[in-house]
Amino acid sequence: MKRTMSSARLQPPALPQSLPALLDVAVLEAGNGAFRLLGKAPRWLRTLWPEAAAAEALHPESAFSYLAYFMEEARAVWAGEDGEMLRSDPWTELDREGHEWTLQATAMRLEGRRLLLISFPMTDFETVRRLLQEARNQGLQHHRLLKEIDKREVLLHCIVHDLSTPLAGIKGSLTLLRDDGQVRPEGEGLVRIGLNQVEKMQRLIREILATFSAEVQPLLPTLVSRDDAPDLLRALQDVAASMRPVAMLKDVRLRVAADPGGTWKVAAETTRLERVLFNLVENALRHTRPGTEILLRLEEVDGCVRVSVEDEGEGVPEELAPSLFEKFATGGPRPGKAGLGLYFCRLTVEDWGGMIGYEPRPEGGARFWFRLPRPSAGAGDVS
Amino acid sequence: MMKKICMLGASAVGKTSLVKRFVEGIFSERYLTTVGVKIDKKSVRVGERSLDLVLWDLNGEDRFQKLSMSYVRGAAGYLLVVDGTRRETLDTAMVLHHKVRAVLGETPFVMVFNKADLEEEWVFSDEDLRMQAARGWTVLKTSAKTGTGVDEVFMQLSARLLELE
Repeated sequence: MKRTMSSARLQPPALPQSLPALLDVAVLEAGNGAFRLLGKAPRWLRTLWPEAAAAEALHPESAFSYLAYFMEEARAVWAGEDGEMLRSDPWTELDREGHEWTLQATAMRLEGRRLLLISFPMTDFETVRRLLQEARNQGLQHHRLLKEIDKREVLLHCIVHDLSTPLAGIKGSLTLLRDDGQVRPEGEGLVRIGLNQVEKMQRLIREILATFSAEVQPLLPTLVSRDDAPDLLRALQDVAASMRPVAMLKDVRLRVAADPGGTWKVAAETTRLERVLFNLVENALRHTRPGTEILLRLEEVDGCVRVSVEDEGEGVPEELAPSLFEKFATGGPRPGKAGLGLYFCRLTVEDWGGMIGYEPRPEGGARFWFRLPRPSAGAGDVS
Repeated sequence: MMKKICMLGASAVGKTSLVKRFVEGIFSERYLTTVGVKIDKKSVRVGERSLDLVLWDLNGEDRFQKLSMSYVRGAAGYLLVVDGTRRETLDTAMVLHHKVRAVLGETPFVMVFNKADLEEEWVFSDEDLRMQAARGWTVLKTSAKTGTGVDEVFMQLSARLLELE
């Protein structure tokens, strides 16, 4: 009797039925195979799940798909010790009018009862979202700025290359004129002025490269149709022809080897393709020995067109080979070279879906190669 | 028949916009980041059969938020969304694809290159897309803004899910 009285004294009064609704919390208790709502349903629940207020046996996971996932985790809590609790991440549901409702669920075991509470997020959801939003917006903005800078870098790099290659040709031609005695004495002064100006421009280009040697990102894509695709043999011959004066000065022969009956169209864009070839031939010219030959070979490999530029120089030191196509990889101190040429080649070739590489020639010297896919009939038709 | 579809990808690739375009037929320029999960539903008909899609639009993965892989449990398929103007979002998609496969095993999915309307900023070549398709994957270009390809993505995935039934 005494115990009963004591129990009666300890028994707390039942909570008011309207308390959950006032707190905007839906309190559900798990029974045998279904839940029942404790207390009055909050208004938002009546909007999102009108049946909840009336039905006896409730299945919240059918009303809120997210809960099907959460309740799998919650089962461990309900089967555990009293006082255990698990809170879900916030999730968002849409009502019939398309309004968003962000909710959060809590599973707990209390005095042997298995409870599921659904409410608005406990954390300041809007603050979290605002902060994330701000951070991501800034991230996107940062990305856009980097892209702008990259575009300028690439543009600058292209301009510099476009300037430096013909300059090398002009310099080579003027030097040949001067050295071969083909200029009349009164013209020698003019040739000297021309050479001085060329050297001045080359110095300027070196300074520009040194100033702007920053990050360079992949180039914008180029969509090439079969009709517009450049002929690699033709490009190679053009490049070889324009580099011959410089080669002659160095006493180096340039030879193009390809099956003249072959088809050498590739998925690329002519101007940049020529720039890639210029860079590779210029690189070979810089590193080969006088009295040797640079072989520009075209061949078909695995359905792609492969170009190799082979010289008879000393080749690339083994330790430098892995980073040859990285930016600013100069392979040692070489005045005037920013180490962007091969990097540019890699970016460009990969941009077209090709590959580029280096291998030492077994008989000595270097072999730089790249391969490009042929233009497919459906170019531009990927859906 | 009800099927759970998860939207996966880096943040701001357009997962929510794709769902909104598909379910409601609308697009908003206003970017509102997703925190946690957003759930939407749409019924589709594929031939004579109908399917109730429950679309789980999951928060994007980036340095600020990681995606809880437990969310993908029970998914019948997923969309791997890439932003066609940001190359790094392809890397994120590939990482997520491997993580999801570890949880779900072989599950139908479609790789989506979104934001096709931003031609000026597009960074992927057709060859890039073909390389992904060469793995036997379904790869599609979409624009949640114009609606291009959006229905096709969901319909192709739905058809695949029904084939497996």
